[in-house]
Amino acid sequence: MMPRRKPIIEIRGLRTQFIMREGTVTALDGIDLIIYENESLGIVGETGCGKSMTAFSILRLVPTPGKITAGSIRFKGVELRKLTEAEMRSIRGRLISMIFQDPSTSLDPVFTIGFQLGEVISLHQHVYDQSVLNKKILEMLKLVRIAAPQSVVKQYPHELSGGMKQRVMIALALSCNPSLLIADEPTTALDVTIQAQVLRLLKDLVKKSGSSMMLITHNLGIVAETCDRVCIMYAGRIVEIADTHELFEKPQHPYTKGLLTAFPKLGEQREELSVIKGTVPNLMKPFPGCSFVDRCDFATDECRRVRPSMIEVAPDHFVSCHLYRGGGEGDRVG
Amino acid sequence: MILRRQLNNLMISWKGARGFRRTMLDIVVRGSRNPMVVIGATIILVMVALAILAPVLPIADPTPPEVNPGEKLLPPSTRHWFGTDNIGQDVFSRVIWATRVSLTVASLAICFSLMIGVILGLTAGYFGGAVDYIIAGTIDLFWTFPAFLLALALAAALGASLTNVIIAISISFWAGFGRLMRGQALTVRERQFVEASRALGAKNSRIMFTHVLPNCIAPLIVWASIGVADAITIESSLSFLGAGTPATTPSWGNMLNLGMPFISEAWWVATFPGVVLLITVLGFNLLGDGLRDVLDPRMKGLRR
Repeated sequence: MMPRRKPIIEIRGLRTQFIMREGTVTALDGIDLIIYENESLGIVGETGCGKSMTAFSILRLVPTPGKITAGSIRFKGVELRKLTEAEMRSIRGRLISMIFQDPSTSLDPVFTIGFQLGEVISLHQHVYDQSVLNKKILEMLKLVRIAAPQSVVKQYPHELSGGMKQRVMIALALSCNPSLLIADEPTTALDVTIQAQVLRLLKDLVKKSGSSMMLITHNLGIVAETCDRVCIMYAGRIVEIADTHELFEKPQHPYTKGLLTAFPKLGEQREELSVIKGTVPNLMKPFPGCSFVDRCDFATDECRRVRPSMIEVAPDHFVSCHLYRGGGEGDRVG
Repeated sequence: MILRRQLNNLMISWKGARGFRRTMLDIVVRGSRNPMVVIGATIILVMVALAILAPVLPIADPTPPEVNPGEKLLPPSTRHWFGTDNIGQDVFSRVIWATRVSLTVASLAICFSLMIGVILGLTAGYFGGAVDYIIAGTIDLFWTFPAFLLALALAAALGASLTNVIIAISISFWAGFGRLMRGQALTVRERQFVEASRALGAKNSRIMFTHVLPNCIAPLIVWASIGVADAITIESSLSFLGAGTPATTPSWGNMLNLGMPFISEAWWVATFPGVVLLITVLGFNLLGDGLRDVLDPRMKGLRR
């Protein structure tokens, strides 16, 4: 079991909603999440479950008409929701950084790699001397293991391969040594051989710099390889949080179990992959009970009426499910 | 201190604009393979050279202090290449001096229109919402007036002077650039690198001017080139109607107006300024059209 560590970010009751004429979509419905220092946390869930929205909420970059309507986000003890926009800007990229899914569109096509790196470094570290800046740029490119940094500095994004571009993005995000790095599906757009390289690089760099990482993905394999802890999200809520090992060995929530059985294992003979029946609920309708109720095999009347709270079924293993309320009743399922 | 930081920032942007300069170089290189661009650019270069060199060229005084009755309405000859007009002024010399006036007016007017249009269009497209609603509404309001009628009304109201012509053309032209810029900004702001730079802590003004604007530059160049052609036409039309360049300053429009009564007996007085006007406008239109082909993103594959 992991020893208790200092939290780097503490999210309590975070609710992010999109208030529109057609109705209100609750993208995040009461998220409680802690990321500790020097750990990497994986956030897993299907499309639209609020993974990216959690990231955007932390950075306070929720696209309009979205708004954080409740809850608190404390970063190193500072309430981010209370900061001014200028204070928030000085945090973005410097203390909390983000990497996006598609590296080919995350870099500005009309500027060189060197310029774009220099821009971020001068913006946050107030380095204006071109020779110092150049040195820092080269350092960063070397750090992300780019083969010929001297020539890459002068190149444009379209001249680089996808993997190279993502390395540059990582260099951009890490250039100011952030305390928290948010990686939003950093390898989805890359091909499989490159994925492994980029993930290993990310993991190494984050460990080495003592930062924390929040890795958003829908690929459980990536999580198993990269993260210390995993958080499973479903329909804007967190359904289970546990150590990676614990979660893969002893999944508790019916949804987590469904996810794991839907995931093929190597060397296993199976005719068909199992699927979780049904579809994601409409986020426009508020539901009083558990969000997974319509797809759950163990749903009871209570699941429909009362929203389950987080239950610690084992040390550091939290599940949001009525099945475990009594404690030690986990055997009832599966 | 803050000022110095801003200044440094600017310096770095400029140095980093090496990329931007390369984009420009790239346009020149690819443009040189397009015949329309080459012909258009050649015409423009010749006209600009003539305009700049007008005071030092060995040509007659375009506005001689006294009328020479003996030189009246002479046909083209080796001494007067384009002949003379009804008060004995050399048409060739006047056409060249008129080039100076027309090009200055047109390019200044386009510069101002570009500045207003780009700033307002960029603001509207980037921020969206209520800001966009107000600016886009204003743009549409100006856009509904035919540019020439608006310029004519303004020039007539302001009175005939070079400054007023520039003002009138700028006011009637900026909406086009504003509309174009707004549309471009609307698409570029949705691209991920804008979001990425926001996530890395850039503020709105920086994103607008260092990331959105440079990505919209290509269509602006095309429009500016075609816009200069339109501005020349409007300037000449205004001058022809007597609402533009004052009659004492030679301009193509003035000269057309001046030569019109004698068109049957002295065709050269009105024809030469007309032809030069036509060629110049053609030059800018060719350049604009050619650049549009060159800068078309679908042609990017042919870059190397």
